[in-house]
Amino acid sequence: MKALEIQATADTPKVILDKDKNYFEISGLSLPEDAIEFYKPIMAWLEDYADDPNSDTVFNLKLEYFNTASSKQIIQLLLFLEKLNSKTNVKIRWHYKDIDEDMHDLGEEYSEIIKVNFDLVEYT
Amino acid sequence: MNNKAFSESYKNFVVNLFNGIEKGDLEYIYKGEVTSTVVTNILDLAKLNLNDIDLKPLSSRIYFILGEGLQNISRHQDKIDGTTPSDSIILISKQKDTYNITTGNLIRVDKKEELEEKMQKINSMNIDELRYFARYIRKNYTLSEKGGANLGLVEMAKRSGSKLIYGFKDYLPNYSFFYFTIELDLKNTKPTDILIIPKNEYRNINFLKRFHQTLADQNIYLVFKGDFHQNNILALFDILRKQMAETVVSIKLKNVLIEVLQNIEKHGDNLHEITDWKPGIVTIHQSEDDFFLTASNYIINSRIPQLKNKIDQINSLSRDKLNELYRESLLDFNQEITAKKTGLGYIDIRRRSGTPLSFDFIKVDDNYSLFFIQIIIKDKN
Repeated sequence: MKALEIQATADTPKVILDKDKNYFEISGLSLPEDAIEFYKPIMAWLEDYADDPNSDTVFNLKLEYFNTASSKQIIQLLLFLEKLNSKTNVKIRWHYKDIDEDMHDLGEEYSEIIKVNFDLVEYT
Repeated sequence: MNNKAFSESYKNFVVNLFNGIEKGDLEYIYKGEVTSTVVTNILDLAKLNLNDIDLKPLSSRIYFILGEGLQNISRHQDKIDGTTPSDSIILISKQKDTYNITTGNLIRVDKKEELEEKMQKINSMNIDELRYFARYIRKNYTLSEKGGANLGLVEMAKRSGSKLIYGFKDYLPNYSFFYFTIELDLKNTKPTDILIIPKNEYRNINFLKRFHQTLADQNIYLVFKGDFHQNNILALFDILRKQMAETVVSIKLKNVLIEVLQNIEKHGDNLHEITDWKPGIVTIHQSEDDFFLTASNYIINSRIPQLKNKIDQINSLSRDKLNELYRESLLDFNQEITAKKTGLGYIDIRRRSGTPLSFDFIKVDDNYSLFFIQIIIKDKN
């Protein structure tokens, strides 16, 4: 299956979804005006992946800033990964900067909503 | 409601800024310590705006004048007891036909007379004389002396075709604020023979002094005024990211800023139903470790009750209830979810702030009002 790679822009994150390398990451800024449009190909890729996933799926979310429009897409992505957990061992790694309290708290909050392995990973 | 935020003088300040605002206008006002980093970031912001197709032929001249004007501060400001003064001012303003840069910085009183003489000399020259004068300085002065001979000022006058407008205000016993403004006429790509007088309001030095005083009185650190479309929003966001050291509070501030700016872009109204741009004004006030972010935009009067109810409701909730409402809205996929309307904006802002949102309306006419909202961002909630 072909990897999905999207370069970061001034208002959208870097995306790497690579089944062969078993690496999944969304990182950077997510501040687009139209968040639905941006997350569409990501959701489409994951739906294809769901047909024949790897045995383990570790998904890295390392966002510095994201707007509320993006949060609605991110929660949908997380809910999709929760569903996927019956076919592959899903683990979410939610990265947050040590001084970013809000990002830490959001991670904690989302981990209560999404019933899968959910790690909060601090970085400096 | 926070009285300090919505004092009559603050509201007047904003109402005056809105006066005559037009499509494409952008004003960036900074009051604080001017370091080389600040200068670089402001130049980056200006550069972004120069991508505008109409400005392309003028972009190198605008960039030069901005660069010289800003470096003028960092080069010539004097320190008090070794400390860089924290109340310098930079105003960059792009209006329909003009691009303007205005600065105010502290200098030692003993430099005043010499500076004034140089300004007068430059202002008395026509373009040919300035050309000759610039050539003369280049030829006869060493690199380090050229700054002292004010080659920068000569070049600014020459390339802008604008008279150098300046003024002084006594500050401390041995210091004076030096105000300076220069303007580029975007209509005339070729400067006229003699220097013209700038059109912008900052040419009035008394106005400028009062303006500077208002910024100081209101503890205003930054003002963004203009058309809030995504490119401007990102440029402003970027400049703040670079300018402010990352702290718990500044990260919160930046998160709230994005939400507030995109809110204006999505929900702001415009006078006279001109729909293709969204005028707004955002100010950031700093008091000790806390920040106050205040945004204002036009709103159609009939939308006021709904907005008021929404914010009142969010303000009335306890933290737990607020979190419940957040989760409910986040997971509400039944409503018509457009990229425009998530229903999360104010909930998110209120949660990050931890304190109720202050807001107010000022009637403009039968159809429109100005909407003000202020968010307090504290180190500890």
